[in-house]
Amino acid sequence: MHLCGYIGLPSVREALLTAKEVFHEMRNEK
Amino acid sequence: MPREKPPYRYWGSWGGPPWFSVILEVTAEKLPYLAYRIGASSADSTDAGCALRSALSKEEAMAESELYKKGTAIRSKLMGAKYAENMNKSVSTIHHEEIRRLRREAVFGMLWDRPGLDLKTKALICVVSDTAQARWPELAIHLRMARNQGWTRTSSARR
Repeated sequence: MHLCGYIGLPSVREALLTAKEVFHEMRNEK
Repeated sequence: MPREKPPYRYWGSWGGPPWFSVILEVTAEKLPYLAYRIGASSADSTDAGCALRSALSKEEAMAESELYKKGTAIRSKLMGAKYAENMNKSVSTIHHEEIRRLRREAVFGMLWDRPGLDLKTKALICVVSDTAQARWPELAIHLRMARNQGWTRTSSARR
């Protein structure tokens, strides 16, 4: 969220969506 | 009366329509991927592919240097041993073996092993850099590394 002011909200939003997918994937691996 | 020249001025010097260069560029961009796909299937099915594959066997291609071993260790630490092993299986052609070796030695063995910053900080830097440049596939890999290095879901979201 700290990056929003530097690189813009759309990129950060996309990054958070990617993070959500990765974390979900990692949870399923365990 | 002299024949009029066709309006080629918008077609570029070689006479193609402007959109054709765009298609060429896109095709050139996809060529390595296409070559990889063709190579992967032919190496599995044809005699030539089998011969080529046995000539440069995996053991030969992976003559392990110290840097390679160090890179492998760091990579497993970052990605998790199981995930790293799965990624190894997904790569099959000889060209990819070479690229893999280079990447293992240069990126993981040299870059990630540099002193000064710990792995946790380096992983976060990669996440920030990928986000800033909109590199989503790379971000997924680096997020996994950051998570394995101890960044939690909440702390990485704040950054």
